Amino acid sequence: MKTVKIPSDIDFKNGDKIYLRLAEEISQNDEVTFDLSEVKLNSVTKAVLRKLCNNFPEKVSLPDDIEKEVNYIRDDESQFEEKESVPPQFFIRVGEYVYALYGKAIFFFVIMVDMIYYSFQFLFNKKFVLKHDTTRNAYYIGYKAIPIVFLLAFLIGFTIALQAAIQLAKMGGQTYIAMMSTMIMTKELGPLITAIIVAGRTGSSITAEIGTMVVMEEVDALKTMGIKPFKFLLVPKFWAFTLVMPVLTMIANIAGITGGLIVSTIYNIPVNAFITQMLDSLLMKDIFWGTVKSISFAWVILAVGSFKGLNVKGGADAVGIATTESVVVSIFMVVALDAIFSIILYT
Amino acid sequence: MLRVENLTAGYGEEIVLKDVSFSIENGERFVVLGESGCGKSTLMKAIVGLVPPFSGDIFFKESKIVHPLPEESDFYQKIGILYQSSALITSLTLEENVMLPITMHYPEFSLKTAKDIAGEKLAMVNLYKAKNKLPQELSGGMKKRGALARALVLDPDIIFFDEPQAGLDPVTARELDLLFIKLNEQFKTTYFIVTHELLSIRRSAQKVLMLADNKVLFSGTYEDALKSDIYKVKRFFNVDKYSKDV
Ligand SMILES: Nc1ncnc2c1ncn2[C@@H]1O[C@H](COP(=O)(O)OP(=O)(O)O)[C@@H](O)[C@H]1O
Ligand SMILES: [Mg+2]
Repeated sequence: MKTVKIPSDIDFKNGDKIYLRLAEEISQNDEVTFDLSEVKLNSVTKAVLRKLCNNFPEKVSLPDDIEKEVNYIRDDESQFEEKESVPPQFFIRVGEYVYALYGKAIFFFVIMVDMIYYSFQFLFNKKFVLKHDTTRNAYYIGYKAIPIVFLLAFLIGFTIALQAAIQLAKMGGQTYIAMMSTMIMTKELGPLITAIIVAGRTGSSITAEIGTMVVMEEVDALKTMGIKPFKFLLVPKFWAFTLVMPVLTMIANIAGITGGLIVSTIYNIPVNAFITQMLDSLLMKDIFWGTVKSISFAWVILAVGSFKGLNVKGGADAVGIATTESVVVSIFMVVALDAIFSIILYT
Repeated sequence: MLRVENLTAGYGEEIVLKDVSFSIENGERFVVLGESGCGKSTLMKAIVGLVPPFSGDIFFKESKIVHPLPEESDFYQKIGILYQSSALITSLTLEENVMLPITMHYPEFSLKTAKDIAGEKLAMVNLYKAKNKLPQELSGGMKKRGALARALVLDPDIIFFDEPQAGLDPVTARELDLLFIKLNEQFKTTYFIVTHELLSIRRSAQKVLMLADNKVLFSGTYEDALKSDIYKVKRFFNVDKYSKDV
């Protein structure tokens, strides 16, 4: 019969070590009693005693009065009992994932169709949309984005032209910088750069705005005031986007080509030669498809942004998560859509 | 005025309310009470269609309401709702918020008259001076009053209140209650009030409906509720006397 003394100074710093020491002492003996004369029943001591009793149930026991303090009754466990979860089979998991994705895709499609439907219906029926809301949105989505769009497109246009010029110069082809800059900006980079900037800037803010309105019951309130939240929230943004995106894209094109112009002056190409060549390579077809692309990117960004916003459930943290997802998904969809356009148009 | 029969509602597959029936008379202040999480807000949302009911019938002024209703439905112009979070549109001033139902439903209506009506409603809730403020510049009690002005603007037949006193100090809560009662007596608008504030129930309740365990536990006048022999009802009105000590 061995007596194990429980020290009086068990705390958060030494609790684990003392437990190990006591456990070892107990496991080396067949029969054990505790010396609890100096024990102080703080949280750690109680936890250590519980652990010892659980791990050596046949060797140790506590006097009734201490036992009562040490063990706690887990209140109404049935209520919190976790559902027994068997890890689902691989195919079931894949199936569930695909099914969830399918549900989301349907909902996204509905939003897209509703958005376009209500936006065109708005042209004949001005109900449920605030006056000046389109202008206000165009101001924030478009006008406010001009500096950053210009700057980024200029820098990217400049960098790409510079890299290209270095290679072209090796073959004596530096005179083609104008053509390359013009084509790459109008066909690809102009619409793409603009869409990525707008997705990061405006797509996120749309999700945050609508998500917060959902959390604050404002969307519910609109509905029960008999106002279609969809029309009220999305139509002004739709028209603002549709009008503003081609303009921003045009600005990006100009900025990018200006970057090319700077590079070609470095390579001693006269400005008017650059401009002549630029005008030659500027095709109506490219400008037209660039505009089509930029508008479809705009619709995707708006649809993703509002889809994520309307789907917010919970509180402020849910809005944050939705905002992040919105940017990631809309940039992905923009790039994917751009690839599809390229395949259709240029192969 | 409003009659609900065997309403069952919930979220997804979870049933929150089962077979709830009651009816509200014209001009009455009808209070729904019960412990937190018993489904009071769900009942209100089921009636107005924010949580479409699973089954049961809703009759509003003797005509049947089948959810989901389109937003254009007349029903939504005959009800006003005061949400727990006030739900004023953050990008609009108080006056624009109050005018919103008019400008949205009657785009041809003169803006000047709409402003005048909004001003009248704001004056009723003593907020005329704050009409050009944005919601975030208002205190909790002011937001509630602003939302009430908005709920009143189309002269609804019934107003739903979801815990109007939540988050307010007792003095402000009392002023708000007295304002509600004054307007109710003045316009004979029917009130559907969700609350668990005893003081507020005592001040405003005429009829009460108590929910517990997904069901209606008590339904009747406030006086009868006070005399009820049902344990949970007695406990609700006299918590200290009937509750087990922890
Ligand atoms: N959006 C929701 N989704 C799922 N369950 C919900 C939702 N809202 C409320 N519930 C559940 O419904 C029950 C009743 O909630 P609620 O009607 O808000 O209660 P009360 O308003 O009486 O406090 C609660 O158990 C709550 O967990
Ligand atoms: Mg509630």
